[in-house]
Amino acid sequence: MTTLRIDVPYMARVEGEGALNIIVEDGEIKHLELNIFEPPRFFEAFLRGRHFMEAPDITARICGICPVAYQMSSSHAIEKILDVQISPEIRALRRLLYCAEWIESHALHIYLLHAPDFLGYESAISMAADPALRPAVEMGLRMKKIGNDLLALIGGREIHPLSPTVGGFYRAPTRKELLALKPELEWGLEASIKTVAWTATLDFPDFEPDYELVSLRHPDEYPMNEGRVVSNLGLDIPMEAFEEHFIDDHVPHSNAVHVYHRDHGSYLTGPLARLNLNLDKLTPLAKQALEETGHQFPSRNPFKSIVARAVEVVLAYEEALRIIDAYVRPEPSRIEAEPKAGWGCHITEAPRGMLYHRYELDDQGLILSCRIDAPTAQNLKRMEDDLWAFVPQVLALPHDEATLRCEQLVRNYDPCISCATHFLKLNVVEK
Amino acid sequence: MSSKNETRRAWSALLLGIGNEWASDDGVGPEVVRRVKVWWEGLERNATGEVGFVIMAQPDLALLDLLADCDRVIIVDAVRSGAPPGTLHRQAWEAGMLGDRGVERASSHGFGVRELLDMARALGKLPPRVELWGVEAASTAPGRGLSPRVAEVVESTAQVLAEYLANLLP
Repeated sequence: MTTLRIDVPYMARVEGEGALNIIVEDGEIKHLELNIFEPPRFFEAFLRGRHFMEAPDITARICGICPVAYQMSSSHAIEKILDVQISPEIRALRRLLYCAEWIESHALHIYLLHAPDFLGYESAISMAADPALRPAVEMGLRMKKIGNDLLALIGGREIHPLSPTVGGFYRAPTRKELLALKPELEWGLEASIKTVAWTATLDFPDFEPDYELVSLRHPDEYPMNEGRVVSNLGLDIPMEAFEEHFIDDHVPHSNAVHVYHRDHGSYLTGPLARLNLNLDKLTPLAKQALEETGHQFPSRNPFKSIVARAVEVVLAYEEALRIIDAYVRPEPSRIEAEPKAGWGCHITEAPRGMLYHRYELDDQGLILSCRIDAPTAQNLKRMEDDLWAFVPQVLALPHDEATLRCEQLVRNYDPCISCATHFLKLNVVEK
Repeated sequence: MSSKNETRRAWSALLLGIGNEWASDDGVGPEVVRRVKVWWEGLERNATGEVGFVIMAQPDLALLDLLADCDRVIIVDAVRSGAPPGTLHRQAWEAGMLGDRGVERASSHGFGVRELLDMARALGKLPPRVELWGVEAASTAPGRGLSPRVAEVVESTAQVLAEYLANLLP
């Protein structure tokens, strides 16, 4: 009997800790577990007893790549409890901040984490060492830096920004400060359009499993901060009904919860789901860039998430420029909130998918309980289901190639993997 | 920071203190660089801006542009090599000399000193001289504060580095 065993007890270079175990015997998968289990962090527990104003700053520490998402979901949820109405100017600045995060996060993933998989490089570093691809890496780094610069300007610093808070911003940038970034943003827009065309030339495995795609949907715009929760299977619910439909499951092999849809099981959240469900909300240049790829969307091929991500970078640059052109500095920059007992939840679209926050406050404004569902927890079950469907397709390949394809499949989801491309090792055991 | 198009680079030397100050001895790099900065800023000559100082919990891609803008980078970091805690290791960096975990860090993130320098080299952004100053760590357990053996050598290490800089920039 031949046993193929992919057994990685500790996956390096993912945010948190995890393992992948696959055992195939005589062509049949006997065992498959993907755990991206973050170290026990107890955020939901130690938020209890904290004042609501601390929630955006504390939850931002959950992620160094998408802290804005945590600040946005927590602020909106708490504002709902406290009946805080933000001004249109604050709303626009929040969307601009989110554009910055999408740009830096997506550019990082496209060029440094995902592209090496498609092009057969061990890492972005070896990709950069190839004279033919060095310009692409340089372009990606500059695109990312523009996102970081915009984030630092609005947020005070690029990682774990200081300014965003419940009710708005401690300080809003001046129009002059934002206008100074326009030339770089215009360069970034051009570069992002080229990026879409570039990703479209990559080689995509033929793989289109049937699954549910879930994202926010807003009547007037591509979703970031607001919307209803919709899916390709007809789901259309307010955010407040999220917990009725989406269940937190504790599975024995993972410290991270698996979130699944009560009616349909695993589902996908993130750029591919957002794009598929919001094609009609794309900005003009993003729409044009997507059409020119020749790829058919909606698409359920998870490998094409790199195209979706690139299209969203065009959209983010386009939106950023539009918002800056129309920018009016919010006065005041922050709406004061008075403590009040109540319950509230909110979802925003983090770069890698829906981020759900729910809080319960007492009349002093102290947090009684909270629940946070990160996008990676929502996608984890989908990743495993993908691997079940995909592994038989790669069994005939040499082991290195088979492992690479499994890694690439996982990286399609951008599961907060840090700046390295290889995190799995293949061990073959002959019995 | 000056533009990369200028012939003169922004700094003769860039001091980079790397380490998480909430991971015990991993904070030694930032602490040494902070003390050298205080010394440098006390000198009359510091107005020339010849030396840049950066303190970071872990390397960031943003450092690539800074590296391209200096003649020499000196990276001060905690290391683990099996030597007695507090030992100072001084080496010129060469490609391949740092292992996967050559510089042990508390963070689970993978972009470390090795990746930073490899990426800078691949992109042609490496300064002409790259020096690693490693201080042997006793512990990188969570928590603030250096272990006694490492705390003892912080001041002397900062002095050695200050004298080195003084000789370097006559």
